[in-house]
Amino acid sequence: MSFAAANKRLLKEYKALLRESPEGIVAGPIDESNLFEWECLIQGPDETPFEGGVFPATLSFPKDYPLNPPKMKFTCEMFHPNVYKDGAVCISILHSPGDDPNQYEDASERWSPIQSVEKILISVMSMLAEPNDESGANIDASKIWRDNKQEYSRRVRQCARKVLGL
Amino acid sequence: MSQSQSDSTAGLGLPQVAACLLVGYFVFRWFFKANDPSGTAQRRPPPVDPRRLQEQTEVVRGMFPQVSAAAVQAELIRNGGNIEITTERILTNGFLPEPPAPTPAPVARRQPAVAASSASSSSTILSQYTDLITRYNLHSRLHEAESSSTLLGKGKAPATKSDRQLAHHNKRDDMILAARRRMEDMDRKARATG
Repeated sequence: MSFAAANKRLLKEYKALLRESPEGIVAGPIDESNLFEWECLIQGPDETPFEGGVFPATLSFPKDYPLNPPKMKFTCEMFHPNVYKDGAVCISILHSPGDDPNQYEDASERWSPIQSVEKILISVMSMLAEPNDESGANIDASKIWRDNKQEYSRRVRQCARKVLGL
Repeated sequence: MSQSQSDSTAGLGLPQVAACLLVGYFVFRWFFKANDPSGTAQRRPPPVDPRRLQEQTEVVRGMFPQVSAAAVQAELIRNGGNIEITTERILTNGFLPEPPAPTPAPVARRQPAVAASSASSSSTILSQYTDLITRYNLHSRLHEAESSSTLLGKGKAPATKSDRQLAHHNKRDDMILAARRRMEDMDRKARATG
């Protein structure tokens, strides 16, 4: 039952995103026969080292979506304090309200069924612009971001160019 | 004078004893209380059925063979046997903390191997990424004129599955190509000024 509900909700979100999606965001199922695996693109926010880049990621939805949040993973090289080396994104909106591994997040920032794919992607976009130094997922990136902004920019730009085949 | 002094000491005697007892009682309670939660936490595991725990551990390890069984069990016991929370933790952190010594013995030996294998697997993942132009086969479209296809107008979603897929792919490819053009422009400008 929840599976059908999840399917319905995902199709609805997909259609809404096709109709009108926020600037700099594209998202949809890799293949519509499986609505639980999505691919998405996030444009790097302007006036940040990510500017001009486009960063691909996958979203894997649980069978009980939207009760639980999807998992998001970048499928390109990323250099960001809140993105693990395997691409997994660490952001409060992707944590379910009952589960707070880091014990610092406000329940209101975490996942709830009123959130959506669109909101996740917007949050991730602003995360690219403003890393959260409380939840370091990539320690190297956290350190360099804190201590050496120039080197951080250089590494990020390198990733951005690589994704676009430059 | 000496009379009043002895009086006062005698008068203070009882309250002092009472105060000592009271302080002693609270210290005792405090210790007791401080011990208590850990005591209950350690007493929590029994409600978890060992057979079920074993099954759940196998399920989780089927998905994440790199995580040791002991770590999975510890996490399952901690969260009351919830597989979802366990997988979530593995996916967000990339690992599970190894339980402290008492559980099984081989844990300590296995840990370095786990770290090494996860490190090597993540590095192979990194090198496997292909750029978006190759991934979506856009080489032929690199030199097209700008904004070639805006197939659908805003305001309605295509009605059929294949049209939706097409619309999604167009959007995706256009975004990639636009970004690539922009990045090349930025390069050109940088070269011109530098």
